[in-house]
This record gives sequence, structure tokens and C-alpha cells, in this order.
Amino acid sequence: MVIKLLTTIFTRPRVGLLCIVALLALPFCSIAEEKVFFDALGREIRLGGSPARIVSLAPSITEILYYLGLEERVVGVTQFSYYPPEAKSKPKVGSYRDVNVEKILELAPNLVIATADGNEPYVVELLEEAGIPVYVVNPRDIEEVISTIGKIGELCGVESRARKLCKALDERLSAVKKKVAGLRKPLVFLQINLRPIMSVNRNTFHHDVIQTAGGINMTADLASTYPRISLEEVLKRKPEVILISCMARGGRFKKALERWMKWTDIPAVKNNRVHLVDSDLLDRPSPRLLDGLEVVAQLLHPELDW
Amino acid sequence: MAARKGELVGIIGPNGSGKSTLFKIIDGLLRPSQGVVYLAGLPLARKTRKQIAGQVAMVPQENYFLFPFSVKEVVLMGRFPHKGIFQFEGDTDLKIAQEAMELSKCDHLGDRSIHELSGGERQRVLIARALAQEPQVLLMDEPTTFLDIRFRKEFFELVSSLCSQRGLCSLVISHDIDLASMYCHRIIMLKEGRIYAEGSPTEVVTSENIGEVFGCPVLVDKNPVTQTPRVNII
Amino acid sequence: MAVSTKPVNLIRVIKVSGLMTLLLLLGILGALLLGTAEVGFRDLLDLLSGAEAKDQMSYLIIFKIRLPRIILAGLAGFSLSVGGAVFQAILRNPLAEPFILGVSSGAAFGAVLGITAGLGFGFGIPACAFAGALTTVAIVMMIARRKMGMESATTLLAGVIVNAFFTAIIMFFVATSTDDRLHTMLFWLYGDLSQSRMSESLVALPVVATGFFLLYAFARHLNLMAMGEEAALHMGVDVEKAKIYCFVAVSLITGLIVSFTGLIGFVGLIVPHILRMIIGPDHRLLLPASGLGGALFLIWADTLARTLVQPSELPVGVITAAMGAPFFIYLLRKKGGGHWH
Repeated sequence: MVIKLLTTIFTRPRVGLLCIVALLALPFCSIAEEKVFFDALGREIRLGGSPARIVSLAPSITEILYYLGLEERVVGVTQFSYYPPEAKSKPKVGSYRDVNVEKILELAPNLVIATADGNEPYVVELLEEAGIPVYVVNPRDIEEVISTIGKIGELCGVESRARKLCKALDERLSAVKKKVAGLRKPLVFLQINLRPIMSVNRNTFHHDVIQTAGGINMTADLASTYPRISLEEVLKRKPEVILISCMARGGRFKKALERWMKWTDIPAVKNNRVHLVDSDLLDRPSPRLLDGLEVVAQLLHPELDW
Repeated sequence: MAARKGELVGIIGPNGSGKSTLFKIIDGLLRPSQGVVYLAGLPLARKTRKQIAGQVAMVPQENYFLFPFSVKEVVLMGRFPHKGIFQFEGDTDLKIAQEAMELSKCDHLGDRSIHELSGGERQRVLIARALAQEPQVLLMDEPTTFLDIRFRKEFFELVSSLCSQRGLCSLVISHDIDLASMYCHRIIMLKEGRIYAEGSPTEVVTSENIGEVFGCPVLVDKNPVTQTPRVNII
Repeated sequence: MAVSTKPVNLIRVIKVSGLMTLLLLLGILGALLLGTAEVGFRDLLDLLSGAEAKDQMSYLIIFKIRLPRIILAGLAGFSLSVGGAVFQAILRNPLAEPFILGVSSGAAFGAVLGITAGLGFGFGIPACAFAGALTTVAIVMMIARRKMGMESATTLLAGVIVNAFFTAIIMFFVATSTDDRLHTMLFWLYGDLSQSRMSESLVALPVVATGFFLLYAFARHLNLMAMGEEAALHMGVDVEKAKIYCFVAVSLITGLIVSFTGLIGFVGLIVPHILRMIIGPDHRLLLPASGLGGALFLIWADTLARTLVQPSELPVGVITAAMGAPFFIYLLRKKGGGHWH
């Protein structure tokens, strides 16, 4: 074998040069070797280098990727990835409930990031079978959202940038916690749907925002994650603050606010503490959750100076 | 064709010859493409459904009893042409219905549900209902289909007496040619939508006519007791 | 029991209607007492008699939440039940109810469009639902009406096909809607009496009353038409006219009601059957009885819907389906078999 090689080097100089370069490069390859990560479900993901083609399977993940400055690497997003607005122009791979696996395969990504809550497991399995690494995230509250941002940053090879951003987010979180510490917590009713009236229980980001902002979620202990609740019940429980989570557009939410004004027996109405909050700030595990936290904290504790 | 007060006319003919259609035209359900129907001298086309029903009553061949009305209630339905929109049935109506049921020999069934009755009993209830309409013309489409021999005879006796005593004009479609010949004043024989023969039973019910119209070779002789035509299939 | 010994007269109608009205009033009283918030019997009497409320909350709950809801439920139950009785007679089909001829799918289609467009429940969505209901009814009538008029079998078939078509379209919207719209749609598609307002009942009341009056004028016609269309014609009924008037009247009333309450099934199917077994098939008695019985039925179904899974609420259509079917089976077995030909 070696004799043959030496013969090739001396009889065909170009080929020989290539072989020598390859031999010399070997030690350097060991530096760009596979990295191993563990996702939120404990699954092992091996990546050979920073992924250059990433597909996001949830709008919140898209937001995080843009937040980390990775927009050029994003090659596919799900429908309704409207934030930031630039994300709208990216190729679509279906909706996060109904992912189009074929489209993903067409895009040939090196990494797909999925959520445990929302994406179907079979999508992950199919992609794994196709040899595409899938990293599953599953943040349950604000702190986990921040740590997820950090992990994604690590995954994609921008650790230092991620660390800086996460530190800023952590500071914002601590600032709010400090400000509302020790204050009396008002009873808060968060309405996420107009008809039927629906709220949120403790298994939601909304709940974490309310609690961290120094409030008590009125429907925390109901069984269903997005429980339907009767008007009578709201009257009975007398919330001190009513937040209506709505999409930024839509005059009908103004109407909802007006409708609450009729029930002057509710403390929130009597004291004019019925507010509209942009639902995007409360319902998804993205950096904007911190914006939501700050907005809600101001609404719950207007007595402080913000 | 014409029919007079007190006349019992038998309509005979093969299947599809237009007997039921004829009745529908007389009752105003269908418009004739040619010709006019006159009822008691007035053209039928000018009358409303209700007006016609007050003069012409029909006992249909097929019946549909969706709900369990009582016999009395079914018979009272015949009073419809004579009642206004929100009017309920009064004593006169009850009397007329009662009389109709007596004539038709079903008054003993008054309170029973129509679902409980046999085919023959139902037939009598429907006749009573038609009579309750107080019609001048009675149309009956193969009314003896479900009746046994005795009730068939009783039926024709009843209709015959109604005609003679009450001046009713009755037209009866029947496949029972012998019986029709026995009781009817006149017979009209239809073939392919046209009148083939018209006249007294003896004139119309002949071997040639039956053979020609029904396409079935028969021998028509005389019933030894009643002296009316009798059809024998050969 | 199903067979009356004496034919119907005005006195009987008044007696039966009076009895059922009394039951209805008692039912309303009971429904006012139940709910997630506590309102005692004494308090209720005080409030109803106009005395000062013990606390503002009780007043609000009784007069602004429960009473409007109960009244709308009553009107809806009344209309759906009367509509069911009328359609069963006209179509001579035991499974007929107002929804079978396209009113429901049309209204649902309109409402789903309205919800997707982000309209409100004050005026926008009910208007769309009503428009949808009338459109489908018109389509069904056009399909079913040929030279010879509206044959029952053809009309039924046309209604079923139109229903299927619109249901498919509705499913498309449901499948592609965002989450917030979806919940609203699903709740509406199974009947939603929450947040009913007095204004809705005030609009519905004269329409329902007029419609009922018109239908009652055809009560005797319905008796005869149940004997078969030809038989009815022979007895003097202008069957085509009766069918069209009744069809349009029922569709108008149910279209309006559905636009306020969403789709509530089973009432028009179950209640007339039950009442027919008890008081007989004469429509002069059956129409008012079905109406009042339907009102009571739906008021109680809605009471269950808002108390069974407190503090949450179920769509009332789920209750009518769950309540209606087994009760009907029980009654059927007790009376020993059906009365259908």
C-alpha cells in the first residue's frame, strides 16, 4: 500500500500534492469534530460544526433565532411566523400542528428545532430516520425560556452572543421581581377568548407572567389548561384586575372591554383596571415574554414608578 | 262522458288505461289537455281546491297512516272543506260524522286507533270520511281490494243505496267486473286513455269487448240469478 | 293514551296550553335558582317582586345573566320544537327537524365566515348566520321545486345534500382557523347560550310569535297532510301552498334563533315525539304543546350546561343530545313500539 502511494506521489505530482495536504490536514479535522448536545427531552443530538441551514417548527423558535442574529441560517419556518416581519419571506414548511415533512427534506437542513408542546412526535421520528438532527425544546416558564435561548445559541455556535443577550434578559427578570417583591398581590383575571370566555390555568406562560409580575391568577387551579368559565363565576370571584389578551388588530376587543364595563360590581371594573394586552407578549416562549412581563407588572402595580 | 245524480257508474279497464287519471281530472287534481270538466253545471277550473272537495269526495286506493289518529278523528277530517281556518269542529260536524260512520257501518270503531284496524275496517272508515265531506259526487278507486266476498257485496249494496236514497253520483273503479255489472246503472270501459264503450252493463260487458280491451279471451254469459253479465275466463 | 276519545276543541287546547305554561313558569323559577353563584329562594322572590336587592351581585346575576339566557333558551326551544312537529308532518318523516333542510348548515356557514372575518356577536355574526340560513333554504327550495312541486322525498334529499356540502366547507374553515377563532367556532357549532342578551330575545319574540300564529293556521292542514299528500288534496287542502308557507315560516324562525344561539340539535326531534305520545297527534294541540314543552326542555338543558361542570360551561347542544336520546328510547319502550306506518 505505502509503496503504491509513494509511487503515485512521485509519478503524478498533482495527486501527490493533494495526498500530502490531506495527510497534513488530518490533525485539524479532529478539531472540527462532532459535538454532542442533549435537548429538553434528554435526546442526544450530534452536530458536525455550526449548522448553516436551520428549520424552525414554531413561531417562537423563529423569533429566538432572529433574536440571536441567525436569520441568514434560517431556511424554513412554519406558518404564522410573523415576528419579526422579515420572517414572513422565508419558505414555509406547514403549520406547527401540521408539519410538511417532505418540504423540510427538500430544504436539506442540518438542524431542525422543534417544540415538545405543539409539534407531533412522529415528525421528529421521520426526520431522524432521514438523518436530520432534531433538537426539541420545552420551556415551561420565563426562566426556562431564557435558558432555552442560551441553549439554542450554544447549539448554533454563537455562545458568546447568546450569553450576553441572556444576561440582559435575566437582569430584566430580576429587576421586575425585585420591584414587586413584598407588595400585595392583586387577583387577576386573564381572558384569552371572548366567546366562550376562556382563561388560563397554572400550566401556561401567561400564568407565569402574572405570578412573576406580582399578581394571583384567578383561574390557576382549574383543571383544563384553557378553561371555559362562566360569566357568573367571574362575577363571583371578583377579580381586581382584568386583562384581555388580544391580537393587536381588531376592534372587537375594544367592544369586549366595553362589555365588561357594564358589570360595575366587579372590583376591576369599578376601579377602571380592565386592560388590553397584546397576546403575542404573553402566549409564547420567546424573548417578548419579558416585554409581556414588564407590561403586566406595570399594569398590576401602577403605584410603583416604572 | 257524463254522470247524473243518483247514478252508480262503474269504470273498468286494464291496468294503465287511465282510470285513476280520469278520477284525478274529475277531482281537479290534473288539468285536461283537451276539454272541460263541468261540475253541477259550473266549470271545475274556476273552483278552489276547497270548493271542489266540498262537492267531490274520493276514497283512494292507497292509504298512509302516519300518526295514530282515532277513527272519529279521521272521519272528522272529512269536514275540512266546510270549516274556516281557526274553526274547531262543532256539534253539527260531530253529528254528520256520526251519521257517516253509521252508514258505513264503522261507528262501533269510533274510539279505536286507525292503526289497530284491519284493511276492510279501514276501508269503511275512509268511506265514512268521504261521506263526511257531504259530497255530491263520490269517487272510489278500487275500494274492494282488501275486502272479502261478503264485504264486497255489502260495499256495493251500501253505495247503491247511497245513490238511490241520497242522490249521490258515484263512480267506482273496479276490477270486480261481475259485481260492478250487478249494481251499476252504467259501465264505462276505458282502453289506452279513451272511452271504448259506454252504456248499460249488458251492452258494455260482452265477450268481444272484454277480449278486445283486456287482451284476454273470455266468455260472457248471464248470472242465472241476477241476469247480469258474468265473465268467465277461458 | 295516544288516542284521544274526544276530538279536539278549543277548551282542550286552552287546558293543555295552560297546564304546560304553568309547568314552564315553574321550570323558569327553578332555573333562575341554579348557577355557579348562590342565590337563595327568598332573595329570588324579593328580586322578582321588585324589592331592593340584598346585594348588587344577586340583582346582576338574576336579571342580567340568568334571566336573558333563560328567556332566549325558552324561545329557541319553542321554535325548534314547533318546527320539528311541522316538518315531521309535512315530510311525513319521523326524523325530520328544521335542521334537516339546510337551515343549520347555512346558518353555521354564515356564522363561521363571520367569525373568521373577526365580526362581533352583537350584530355581525348573527346577521351572517341569518343570511346563510335563508340562502340555503332558498337553494333547497329551488332544487326541490320542479314542475310538479315540492315532493317530500326530493325535498329531503335536496336538504341532506346541501347540508353535506356546507358541512364540508365549514370543516375546511375549522381546520384552517387560528386557535382563538377555532374555540369560538366549535362552541357556536354546538349551541352557545352564554352571554345571551335581553335585546336578542326582544328581537326574536315577535318573530317567533308571528311565525307560530301563521303555523297554527295550518294546523288542521298538517293533520290532513299527514295522511298523504294526495289524500289531503282530495280533502281540499292546497298542499303546495301549505308546504311553502310552513316551510318558509319555520325556516325564518329557526334561522333567526340559530343566528343568536348557534346550532342546537335534537330538540325538534325529541320533544314533538314525546308530546305526541302523551297528548295525541292532532296538531291543533300538538303545536302549542310542543312549543311550550320545547321551551321547558331547552331551559333545563341549558341549566345543566352551565352547572354540570362548574365553574366551566358545556355547549348546550351536547346536553340536548345526551339527554334527548336515552329519554326517548325509554319512553318508546314503555309505550310499546312505534306508531309509524
